[in-house]
Amino acid sequence: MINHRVMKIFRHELASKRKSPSLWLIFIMIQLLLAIALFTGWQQYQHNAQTQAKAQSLVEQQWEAQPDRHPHRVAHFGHFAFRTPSALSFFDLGVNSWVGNSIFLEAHKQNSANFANDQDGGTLLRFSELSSANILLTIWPLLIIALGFASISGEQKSGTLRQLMSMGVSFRDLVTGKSLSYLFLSVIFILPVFILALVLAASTGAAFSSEAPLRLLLLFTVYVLYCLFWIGLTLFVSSLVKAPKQALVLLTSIWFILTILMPRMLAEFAHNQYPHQKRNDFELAIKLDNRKVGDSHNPNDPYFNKFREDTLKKYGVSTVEELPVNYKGLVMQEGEKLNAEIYKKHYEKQLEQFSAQQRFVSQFYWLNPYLFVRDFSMALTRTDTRHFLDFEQQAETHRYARIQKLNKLHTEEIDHHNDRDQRIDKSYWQEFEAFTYKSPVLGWSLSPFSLAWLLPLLVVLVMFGSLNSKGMQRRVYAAV
Amino acid sequence: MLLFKLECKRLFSGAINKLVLLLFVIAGVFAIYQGAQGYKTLRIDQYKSKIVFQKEREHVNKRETLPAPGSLAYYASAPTEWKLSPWAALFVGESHSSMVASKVRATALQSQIFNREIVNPAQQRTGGLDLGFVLVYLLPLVIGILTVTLISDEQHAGRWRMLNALPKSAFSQVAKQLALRFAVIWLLVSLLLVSAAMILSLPFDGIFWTVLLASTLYMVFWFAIATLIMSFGKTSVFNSLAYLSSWVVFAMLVPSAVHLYLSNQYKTDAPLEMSLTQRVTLNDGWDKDKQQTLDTFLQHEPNWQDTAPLGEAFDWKWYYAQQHLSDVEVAQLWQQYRDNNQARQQTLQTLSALSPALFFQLKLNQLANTSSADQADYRLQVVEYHQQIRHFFYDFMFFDKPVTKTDVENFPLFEAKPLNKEINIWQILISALVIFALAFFSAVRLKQLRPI
Repeated sequence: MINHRVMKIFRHELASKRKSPSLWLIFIMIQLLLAIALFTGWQQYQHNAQTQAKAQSLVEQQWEAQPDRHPHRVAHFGHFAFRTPSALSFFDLGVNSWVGNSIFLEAHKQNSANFANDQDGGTLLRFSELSSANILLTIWPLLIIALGFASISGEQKSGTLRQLMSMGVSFRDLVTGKSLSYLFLSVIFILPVFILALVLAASTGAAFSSEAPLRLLLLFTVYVLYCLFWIGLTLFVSSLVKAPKQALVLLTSIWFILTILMPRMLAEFAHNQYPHQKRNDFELAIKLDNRKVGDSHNPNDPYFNKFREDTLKKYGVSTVEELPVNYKGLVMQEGEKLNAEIYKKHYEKQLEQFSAQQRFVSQFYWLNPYLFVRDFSMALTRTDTRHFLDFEQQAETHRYARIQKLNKLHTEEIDHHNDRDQRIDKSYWQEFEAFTYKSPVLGWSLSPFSLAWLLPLLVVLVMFGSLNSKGMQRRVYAAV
Repeated sequence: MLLFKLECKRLFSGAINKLVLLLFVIAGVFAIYQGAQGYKTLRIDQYKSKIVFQKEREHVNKRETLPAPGSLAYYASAPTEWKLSPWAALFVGESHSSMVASKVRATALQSQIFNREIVNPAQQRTGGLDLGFVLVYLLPLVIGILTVTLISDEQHAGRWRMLNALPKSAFSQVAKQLALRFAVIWLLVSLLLVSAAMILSLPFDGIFWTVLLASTLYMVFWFAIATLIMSFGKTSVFNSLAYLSSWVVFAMLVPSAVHLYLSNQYKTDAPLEMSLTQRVTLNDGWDKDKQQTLDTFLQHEPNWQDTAPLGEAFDWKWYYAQQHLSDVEVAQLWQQYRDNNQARQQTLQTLSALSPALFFQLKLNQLANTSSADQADYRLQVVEYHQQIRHFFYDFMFFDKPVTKTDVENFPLFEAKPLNKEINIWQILISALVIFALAFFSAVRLKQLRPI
């Protein structure tokens, strides 16, 4: 497929682009922009990683430094879970700005992550942040358009196409040569940022796992494919539309629709179609459900009356005072269990709505590869909604285990009589495991995309296929 | 008249021109529809919170005996409201990503005011599509596509030389074409605004006319940019790329650069520090001498000085005293956070002059009361209301007064400060002056353009 004519066109196209000073200028400017974005992303990542790690170790210290205390007091003292930023988040910030960084873990209550960095988001973040991923996703396609919009229609207009054809260059050679030259430029253009990202990622030390290079390699592949999509589209439009100016306007309109208008419309539409509950509604629903079950702090609550009878039966005694364990602790355990179940039920409903919204958007991956690459990139850098929710769930699991362990201490180490005035030894606090967020592995990160990448890839292939088709060749020849 | 008809025909003949205008209208209608829906959910949230509280209050008053004031205060989470004008439907600002009806009770304040609305972060990341977006970011592209190649097209078609030879200057021909495009786009914008006003029953008051005027000025700015680019007499392709680049710079790059700068310059961990400190203070309080805690509290709140000393048993007044003291403990951090926020707002104001798109966006959000400054203002109102609630309950707890049913009825409800958006005439005048100067300069340059 690649013969010397293709190579000639490839070299010629590169040479002609090399001569354009404005292209050089834009190239350098965007290269700079990428470097700035990567650098500030890196700084932000380091700052966040340090802050979270410091805060996490501070709360672990605070926990262990507690004096002799009643376990239930400790349960109210609570704990914190901090979200350490993912190692590649400096490349793609994803949804980081819109989600909180820390969760307060306490008894009876599931808090949400607080302290996000979305100040002035409604004014300043209407195009999201200036991350490397965002530049590659939105600005680089514009440059591909600028490079190639006139590649076929321009040759047509200036009459050089006729000359080329008379020299025996087929349309297929022309398209292949030009595609290759733009691909070459794209790779040269995006390679530095990936190499730099690899170097930076490697310098994170502990956070750098063997997976990181693999993730970066996949990122690189998907961004190259994304470039190919835009190259194909540009050449396609350039072949179909007669005047270069028309091709340019059409291409920028398509760019605007695919990267700016459509993602917004789909997101809003998905939200309308599958609305999740707002904070007040969500908390009210949980509160009402909890009320139905009963109040574990109220010893005469109907649900807990039954629980008492069952417990007494189980141990074969007639009063709670005769129980070998502290009944109040048992009540706490039961209450926490019920409460967590209710929360989980409502939380899962929310999760279902979130994933329904995401599924709705992902139906359009084939039509708009921008959406696919954006989501795939966020998944690879562990910065999408799903990864954040995974953190929330890990924190809740940790909260539940920690509180129930305290309730168990309450049951076993505190006497029922004069419960409130007792304390257990501070050595118990050393027996709790610290919260560490377990970063999901690559397989988990990519599981929603099992076959989703096939369609966008197919679209790219079909585009190049039709560019190389006889029909297209005839169409272009007819115009010469 | 004939010429006018011809011009109209030319404007609407190109498939792309029609497509772009259609896209603009579709996006606008979609944005208004979505905005109306979103605004409705915000209002329902606020309304529902009030009703729920009312129900709880009735529920409490139905009991035979009312609970102790301390216990009542513990469960009395009163609704507040971020007062939004219906303009918030069109310029959503921060209103969708933060609480518009947060609840507050008499316990420690700082743990209550950083609650976040539940949002799908993926949706937030896309940036949303409100009418503000259509006006600020889409409108300039429409202007660009319809205008920036006017002269180069004439040149390309070989008419430019001919037009220049006519007794009426070619400039006046181009000016007429520009005026026609301006009129068409302006009509579309007004149509969108008027229909939005009808749908949302917005009054045709000062804000409406300000929005219309500001949009008109903003249009003049982009027309001026287009004219300036045309005045260099380059090819259509050059013009299009130059216009697109200026759009990318003003709409995307400057705002994100400003965001980067602000988040670096005004980085603060105060909220986190506050919650960490407060937690430790609250917990250590249980191990401290309770009477001493109460005495310290009374120094801060001397109105309740005459309260009886604490007995042996658990007393709610000690509980609320130490809750408040934990707020006092972090008061400095809170002040620091507020100052930092304010400085950030001011810098944002100043830096927004770097990009008309950013400036326009900020002003629209401010007019709709949805900017982050308005959000901070709402938060302060919540803080004031929190004090009102505390003081309401203190009377009962510290002077051992039982709560009666009338007292429950008289519980103070949150009253949002009325909206009075001052319209800054000077700002409009100055921006108008700058924009018209630019337009004039571009027009003069265009007039001097001669066929090569």
